[in-house]
Amino acid sequence: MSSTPVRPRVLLVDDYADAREMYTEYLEFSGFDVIEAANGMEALQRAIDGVPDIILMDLSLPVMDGWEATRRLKADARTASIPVVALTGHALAGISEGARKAGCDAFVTKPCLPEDLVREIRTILDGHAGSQRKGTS
Amino acid sequence: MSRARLSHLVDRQKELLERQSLALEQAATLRSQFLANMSHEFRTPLNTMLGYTSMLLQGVAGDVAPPMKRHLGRIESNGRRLLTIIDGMLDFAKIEAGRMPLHCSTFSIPDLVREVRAEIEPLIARSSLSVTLDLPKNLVPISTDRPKVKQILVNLLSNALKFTHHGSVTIAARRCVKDHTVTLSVADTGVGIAACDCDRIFENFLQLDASPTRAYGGTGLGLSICRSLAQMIGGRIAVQSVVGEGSTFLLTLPAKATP
Repeated sequence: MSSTPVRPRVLLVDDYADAREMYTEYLEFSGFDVIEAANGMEALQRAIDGVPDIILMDLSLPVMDGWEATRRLKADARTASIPVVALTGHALAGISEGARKAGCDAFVTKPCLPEDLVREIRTILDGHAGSQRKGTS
Repeated sequence: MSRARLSHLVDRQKELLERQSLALEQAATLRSQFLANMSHEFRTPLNTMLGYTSMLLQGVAGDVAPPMKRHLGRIESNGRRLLTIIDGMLDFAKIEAGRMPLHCSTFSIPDLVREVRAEIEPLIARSSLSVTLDLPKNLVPISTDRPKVKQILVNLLSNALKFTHHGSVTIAARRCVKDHTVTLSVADTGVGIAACDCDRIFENFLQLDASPTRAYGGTGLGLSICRSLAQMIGGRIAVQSVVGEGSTFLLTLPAKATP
């Protein structure tokens, strides 16, 4: 069985409301707790207040983009250990390197179907829980 | 004409040519960028449509009656078809812009072929064709870009199903120890291609029948993408065909890792 918490909390950062609502509905249906943010600035606040298990970060965002938000999350002791998954719509190469430099732990190419996103999140959460255990034992 | 004047003229022509070549290059870059942007703009709303359809089918919003399920299934399969076309445009743009990275790994050919067959299963089920696999025991794992080989095979198999109305499709693999190559083939008993068209079918945007009454749809990018992908991984693609009897597409790959 998965070693992730019973109802893992996901922070979903996306400025496209239709996609955000769709993912939220499916994530909740699939057994996740979801908090949402529509830009990078909101994401920072929600990450500190909500303490999510994983952050799904769209990269092109208004107010503060996903690269900058990820850099700040990784620089803050309160949020540094939360895995950040970049949701990237830029299918052309070169974008992923920039996101990795900003501190993103994984990538999901957007647009992706809700069930594909959930599968990716489960894989990452399982992997992350494994490495965390190894690190602390 | 004086020597100085002549030299001046040559220089001017040279400058003009250089400028034109730069303008052409910029136009090609713009076109690739435009195609990439367009395909992204198409994908975003389509993804939401496919996402909600899939959620309805899974019962996220409650039970769905069987006739509705059938309709939703049609929305989903047609949406996926549209997505495949858009992905083709994006691949084409990436290949043109030279921005298609390679991801090499070592993998089993029979596993890949079976995976491709499973992925195309819905199309096979709809056709009245039998699809057989011919995978000898002497195949060794191959080191190359797996997703690209898969993409080529999916495309060749989809084409075989599209252009074959009765009979069978056979996917085979052969190892050539002497040449250090592996050849994957997709053979059908379909409409076939005239000898004079066998090279042309790999050209961008080409559809052998482009008439308004044409019997087969498509963007004309599939095989040109296959050829570009094959070249990228050091392979080549060819076709043997007899009109009315069928076609065999051959993908030959180096059996050793490309440097």
